[in-house]
Amino acid sequence: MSVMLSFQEVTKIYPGAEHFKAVDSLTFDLNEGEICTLVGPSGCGKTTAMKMINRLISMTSGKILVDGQNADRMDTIELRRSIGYVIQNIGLFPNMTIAENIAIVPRLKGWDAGKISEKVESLLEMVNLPAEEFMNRYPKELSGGQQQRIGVARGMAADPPIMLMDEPFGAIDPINREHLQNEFLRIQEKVRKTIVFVTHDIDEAIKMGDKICLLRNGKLVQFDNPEKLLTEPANDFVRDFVGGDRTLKRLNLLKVKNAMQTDPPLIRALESLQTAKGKLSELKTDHLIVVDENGRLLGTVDPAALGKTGDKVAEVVQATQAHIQASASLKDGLSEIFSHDLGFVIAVDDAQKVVGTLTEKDIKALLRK
Amino acid sequence: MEIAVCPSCQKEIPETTKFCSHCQAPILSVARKAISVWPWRDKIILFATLLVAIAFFQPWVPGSVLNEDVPLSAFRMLMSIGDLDIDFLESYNILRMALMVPLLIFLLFLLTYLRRSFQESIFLPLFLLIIVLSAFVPALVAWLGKLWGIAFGVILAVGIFAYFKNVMRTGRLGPTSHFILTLFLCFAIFLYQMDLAQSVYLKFETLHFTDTFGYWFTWLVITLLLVIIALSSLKRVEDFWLLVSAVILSLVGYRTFINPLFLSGPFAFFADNFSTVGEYTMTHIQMVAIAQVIAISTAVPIGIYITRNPTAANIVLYLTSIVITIPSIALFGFMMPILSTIDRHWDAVSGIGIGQVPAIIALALYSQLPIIRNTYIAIKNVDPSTIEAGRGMGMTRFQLLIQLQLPLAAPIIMAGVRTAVIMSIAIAAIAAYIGAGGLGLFVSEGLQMATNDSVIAGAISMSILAILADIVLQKAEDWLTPTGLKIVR
Ligand SMILES: Nc1ncnc2c1ncn2[C@@H]1O[C@H](COP(=O)(O)OP(=O)(O)O)[C@@H](O)[C@H]1O
Ligand SMILES: [Mg+2]
Repeated sequence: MSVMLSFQEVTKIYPGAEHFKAVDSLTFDLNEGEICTLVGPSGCGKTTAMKMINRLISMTSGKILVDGQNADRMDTIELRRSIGYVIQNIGLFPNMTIAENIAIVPRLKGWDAGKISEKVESLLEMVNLPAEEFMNRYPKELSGGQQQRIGVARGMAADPPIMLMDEPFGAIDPINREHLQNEFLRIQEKVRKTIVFVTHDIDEAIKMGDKICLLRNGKLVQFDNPEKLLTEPANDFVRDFVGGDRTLKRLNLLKVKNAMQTDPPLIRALESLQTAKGKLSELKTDHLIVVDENGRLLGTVDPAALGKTGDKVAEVVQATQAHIQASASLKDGLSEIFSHDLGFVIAVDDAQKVVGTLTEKDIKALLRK
Repeated sequence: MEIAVCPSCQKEIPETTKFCSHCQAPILSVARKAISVWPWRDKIILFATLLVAIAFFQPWVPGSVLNEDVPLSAFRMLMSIGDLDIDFLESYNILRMALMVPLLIFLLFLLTYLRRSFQESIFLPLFLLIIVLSAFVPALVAWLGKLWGIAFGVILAVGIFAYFKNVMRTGRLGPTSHFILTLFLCFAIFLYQMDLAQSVYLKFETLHFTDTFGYWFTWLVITLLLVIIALSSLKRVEDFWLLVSAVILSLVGYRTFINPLFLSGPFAFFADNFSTVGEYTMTHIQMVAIAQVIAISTAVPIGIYITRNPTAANIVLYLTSIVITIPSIALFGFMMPILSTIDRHWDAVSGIGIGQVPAIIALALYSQLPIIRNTYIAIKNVDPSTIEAGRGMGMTRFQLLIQLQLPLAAPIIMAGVRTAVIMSIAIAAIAAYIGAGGLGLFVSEGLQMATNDSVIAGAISMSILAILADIVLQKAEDWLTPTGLKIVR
């Protein structure tokens, strides 16, 4: 993987505030297609660091390489047009329609009209706002969440390889924020941009970042992936900032498939009750998971059910809600475990095929590792 | 449809009919309900109508006109018009006043009825046009004989035909019927004026025709219309101005109408000096317009520039505030020697030291403050995050200015221009003293010759000009405001 963005000993001292360094010899590399969240307490220099990339703020010393080129040597206007920019206050242009807002950078770059309108439509579709309904509306006619989606779409309009986002979901209520975050990650899955994402919210940083860059008083404290940050905090400051519940936070990060047992006690629906009973005592468990020919989940059977009169397992199977996608977070998995009295949940894949089981013990084992 | 029962014949009738479809008895509950949901404006108009009707029978004119000592009502005078033993002019005015009352009542009723359709129909401007045109009818009649009468007759005949056709087809009064009714109204005015013109020409040949009833009447009708339109939608600023002008005009009309001996006065002055008023108005407008073009093309760039230079901003705003405190007479006084000196060195015969050149320069100077200040404030007030977003996406300074700052600042800049224009219209009046012409001439000449009418006429025409300019500029402001900014939520 190639390095897309590189900070090298970047320092910023604001004129008139010479006694302190807003950003202090910041050095890190960001690979192509990764999201790097810049996080830290308020005033630690996140915004400053970010704005030096597109030179809205000039650096005092150091070097920023964008795709291997020194940003300082590039034409400012060209540089900015090649970097997507999304800010906290959204900053949509109230005098322009949604379509015009999204088309800003393509227009500045002189794309032809047909290409622009195609792009606008596909971007609106991408952020889940029907084009024909929203294109000709004005920003004031949209809700905060919708506006922020337009802000993201606008940032991506000219297909910039790099995007800068300064607390993009900061002004949105928690429920909508969660929704936008998920939506954004889904989009990122497809477009794979290199993104610098500023936030003061450690949860958001952990959720959104492939890499987390934790700053304090302008200095880099730790630059790592979220898992590392949670398991191996560099010092007490990081430990504190991440919070006492960092183990629980890891639940958010880890997936069911990381922890589950991959040899579930399966039984085909067409097997006889006799076989099922045999299997039950052989495996020494309380439940068997019933699947169809293709391995898809049908339900469970327990000794009581097997005691009923019948011929085939299919006749006594009990449907169950205790299942979860293997790609879901461990937090959701744990929540499922607690909400059913089965003692475990069944992990399934996209096609509802049973791929494993998850118990509290499995989770504990993983977290201790 | 809901069904009710007629109280007199006990048969079933539709709930909303005001008269029983079987026995024709009035259905009082329906009528009462209709009154209770009457819009308040209609009630006001009805009230005004009642007042006028009372005034018709109320004795209030000094009886000396009829060589009696008791005051007389309009009604009484109308009745005894044959016994009048008075001077021509006086009897003419009594006739005018007395006949005005019943006509006014008729008009008020008709307008009440038409109010709603006036608001929406395209016939309103047409109606106004016809009324204005009909003001000249007395003159036209004198010139063209019966031609106009025939033309109106034809229009009327076509109208009546269309009206009946329409009512028979739809069973209700639609826009066409309103149009027809409007035509009726115009025709009534026309007839009345023709009649009056004849009486004026035949009996009182000594009268100048511009002082005929037609002029007064036109004023009144327009006033009424303005009041009604304004009252019916008092939501916008223009309507407020309409209302104000309506009230002013009504007051003038009232004075004319109440005092039967009011033969002279500012509006008589207007009528007598019609072409001069037009000429002076044009000069006035021309002066203000040129000054504004100069002011806008200097003040807006200056305003933009000082948003980028705080020191310059302080100096410029300070200087322009000083300029605006200089009395206009003094500024004109300054300018004359300066310009004359230039004149002497450059082209001795151009005579720019006096007249329109110093006036325009002074107006342009006075206009700097409101426009510079509004431009400065407007651009400073554009949401910083909007600008930052623009900058971050790679807009150049010029693109930021053209695509964001100016459109977003446009409404406030225009408000400054509006202030400047209104102010200039007033200040330009003083320019008459340095030979620049314009409506100020009426005032200065009037003061010199102690002709009150001239002074008042000048003042009134400048106010009207200012009001009209305000309305036009308000429209321009509206037009320049980006659609996206007009949305309220
Ligand atoms: N224009 C400026 N002039 C002087 N100091 C500034 C300026 N902008 C930011 N700072 C200071 O620099 C530090 C970092 O600011 P910033 O990058 O905005 O922090 P963050 O985005 O992490 O909250 C803060 O202490 C702030 O007070
Ligand atoms: Mg910040």
